[in-house]
Amino acid sequence: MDPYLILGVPPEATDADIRRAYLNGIRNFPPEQAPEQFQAIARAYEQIRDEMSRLKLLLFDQEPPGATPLDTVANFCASAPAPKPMDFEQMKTFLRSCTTK
Amino acid sequence: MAKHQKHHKHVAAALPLDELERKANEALAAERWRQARDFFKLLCKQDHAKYLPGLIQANRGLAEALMQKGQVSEAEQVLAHLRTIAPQEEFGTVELKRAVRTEDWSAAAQTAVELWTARGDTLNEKDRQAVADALVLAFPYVEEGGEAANWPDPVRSELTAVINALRAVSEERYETAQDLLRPLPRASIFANWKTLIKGWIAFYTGAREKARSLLAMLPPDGVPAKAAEPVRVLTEPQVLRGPRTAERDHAVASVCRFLGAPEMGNSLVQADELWKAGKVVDSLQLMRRAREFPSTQSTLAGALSEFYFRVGFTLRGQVQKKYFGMIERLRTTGNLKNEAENFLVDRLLALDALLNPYSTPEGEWRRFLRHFESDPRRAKLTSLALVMVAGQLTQHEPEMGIFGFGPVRRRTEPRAATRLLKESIQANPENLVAYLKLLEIYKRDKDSAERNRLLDEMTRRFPNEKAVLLEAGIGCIERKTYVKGLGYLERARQLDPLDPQVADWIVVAQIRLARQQYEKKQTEKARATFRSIASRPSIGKLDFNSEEPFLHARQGILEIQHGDPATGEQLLAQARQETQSLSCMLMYMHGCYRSYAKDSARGKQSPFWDELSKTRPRGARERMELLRAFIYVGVLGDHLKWQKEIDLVMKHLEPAAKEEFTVKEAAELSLLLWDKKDGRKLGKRLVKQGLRHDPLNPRFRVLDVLMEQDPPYHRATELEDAVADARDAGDLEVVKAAKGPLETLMEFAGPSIFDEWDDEGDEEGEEPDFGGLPPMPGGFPIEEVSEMKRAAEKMSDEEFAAFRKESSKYVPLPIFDILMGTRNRDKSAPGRRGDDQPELF
Repeated sequence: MDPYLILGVPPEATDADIRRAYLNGIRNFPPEQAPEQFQAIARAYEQIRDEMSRLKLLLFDQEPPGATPLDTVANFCASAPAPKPMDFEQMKTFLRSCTTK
Repeated sequence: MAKHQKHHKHVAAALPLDELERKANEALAAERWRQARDFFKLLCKQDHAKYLPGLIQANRGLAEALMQKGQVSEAEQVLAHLRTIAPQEEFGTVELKRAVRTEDWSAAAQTAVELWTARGDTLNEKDRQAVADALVLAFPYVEEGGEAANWPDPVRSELTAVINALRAVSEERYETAQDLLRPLPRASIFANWKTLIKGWIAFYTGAREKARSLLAMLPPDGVPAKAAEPVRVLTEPQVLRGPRTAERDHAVASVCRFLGAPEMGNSLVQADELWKAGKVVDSLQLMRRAREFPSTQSTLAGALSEFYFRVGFTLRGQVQKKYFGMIERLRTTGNLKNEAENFLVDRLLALDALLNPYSTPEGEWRRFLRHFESDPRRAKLTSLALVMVAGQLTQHEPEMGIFGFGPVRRRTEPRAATRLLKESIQANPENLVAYLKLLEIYKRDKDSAERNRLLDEMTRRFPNEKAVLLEAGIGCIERKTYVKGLGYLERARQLDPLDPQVADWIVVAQIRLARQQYEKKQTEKARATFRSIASRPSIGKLDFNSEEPFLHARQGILEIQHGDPATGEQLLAQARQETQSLSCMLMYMHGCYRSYAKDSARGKQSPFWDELSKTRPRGARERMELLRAFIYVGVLGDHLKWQKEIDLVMKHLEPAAKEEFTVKEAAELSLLLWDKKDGRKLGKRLVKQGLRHDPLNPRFRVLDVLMEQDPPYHRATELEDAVADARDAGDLEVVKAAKGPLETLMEFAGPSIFDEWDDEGDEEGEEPDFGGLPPMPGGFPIEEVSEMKRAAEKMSDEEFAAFRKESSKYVPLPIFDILMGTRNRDKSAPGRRGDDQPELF
């Protein structure tokens, strides 16, 4: 999974930003209470903790974010921070589509 | 009308009135609306006033059911009939639903207002929700002068609050939205909309639990419940991993719509099914139809794009080949969909080129790096990439042969690698890895001048990097400038006092310095150097450099040869007393003496030889130590001939396989012998005996395969399993020994091309025609090999030798020699070194 999504930092985040996000993450998901999330956060941190790691990830990462397409969607939903809300027109379209779907 | 319906009407018409009424009410209760309608039509003929409500209800139910199924035009026909038999308020909700269904928002809003005004107090929950939904979804212009300006309160003011709150949420003004919603009473028809919006606010502000619990309060009917579904899935996505159900498919579609990727929702479920069925190419092609796909953004489309353009590396065999082939064709046929796909394809193919030992990765990587033209990290990215590409161009197998066939090389293009590494350094002079890799090339090519020049640059640029200081120290040791070398190594040790490699090299430098000092007759200095060596007591690990007995022995030898012989004898006596294995110590002393002897003394035996020849090692442990000592001194004096010592050691080792020894001892000894020409036979016997005692022992299982005379392609899986077990058991020594052979076996013993034959011609009992060649290891096209063979037959010896040399870039020589079969191999027989030195064993 995308380590930037897991830690909730943008791709241009600095080492300090990433470390801060990591510390917040493990505080919110301590290993004894949320072992899976803790592991995901720790792993994400290792992948992008410094510039060299981030560059290597950008160039050489081969690991897919899921085992199947829907598994990827599930992983994305579980780890992605809340998306930005739709703009108003998109919201209207979405709400109106709920009448037929 | 269908025949059965005519019959039913005819039968119904004949029923007595009370029976007909009973059936009509039953049909109504069971929501069999058509049947109910038909019954009530007949009843109305008897008593119109009494049975009209039933008829209206049946028609209403039918219209709603038809709309539910999407049969809007049929529903409209029913509504048209309803308009003739009932007043508006009787079927107003149906009209409302029709308007919503046909997205006639103006009519929907108007109908909703009328319905609410006429029957607001008597509507049931479902209908109240329908009114609220229609009003909101119409998004009427509620401001002063707008179409809704004259609507009655509280509907108008509450609707205004809801619509403005939705707008505020879309603009991330969450507190404003909360303030707008606060005045809405619990009894408001928009209460569920208020809950939805609050749930959304909780979700967007990261309070997932709160969002989940709020949205769980919504009743199942109505738009708010449906609009809440994506957030429920996003906060609890397990449903997406479950088996395929209508609920799951719905969840997928709603999430995609919510995240602004509605077209992907259409394809995703089917694409997932195709993927799971192994139709990976079809799956990708289906996803590509969605407008939002592919993407490089941090969105759902981006995540799916990363899946499809990375998952290829987890596929195997023909499936992978087809998948990569399809992606490659997108590029070669100019069918890339967008810039994101261009990037993703270039990256995938660049990575694939790195993994494929027979490809040319440089071109692919330069192409991929063009995507970073305006990226401020471009130089660093280029530098990193070129290091990887250079690494791929200089893969070597270890010098010792596998399966006795001599050294095997994957590919070696040091000039190209050197060029790339220099370019990498130029792009990013802080890329230490580039320097280290370039250094490796110079070391391997024995280019001392370039190596030293590079080391000087590295020590200037990276004065506090342990790896650099270590290399500089080793370089000095090789140039025999030991004092300078020790300076570098001491600095390395300060950076990492616990690194055993640094400590070992310091000892090596000190020993060599001491020897140099002895040879220059600087005896006191030499003794001081020996005293400064951080020695270790003997703990049976046989560290020939730093264990005290061996240090004493070595210094003793040097004293005898260059210093004070009496002091030397004392030291040797001390070493004999300290040692636990006399034969090992004698071999060590003998070897050191020979290695350190002056040129004039080269032909003579050491003073230890007689005693060594007569001293028999006691037991398997001592035999092993004798062997280890010999291997050590053999390297120390690699400029000498050691045939007598080899014969002596083999003579002592021979009983090893006959006498009792522990499994551990057999395991240790066999690992030392497996790759030594003279020791292989004994090693094999030890392994066979070891397997009899301990058939599951991973080391023996690995060595059993490694010591096959001919490349054991049929045992590739067996070796792979044994190596995995060895790794699990922590036997890293044998895992390391097996690395090269295993890679070769797995590469050339994959699924045979004949596994992919279709049934045509492959009938039972029919042998495939190999064209006179033996069955191929996987991956070799038989037609091309036959062609090669025919061409080789016509070549002169010089031409064939050149052809063989060229082919070694693509095929290991043992394989090539097997394939070429009858051609004379003697002149270029593998497994012999150029000089007349025997193998160590």
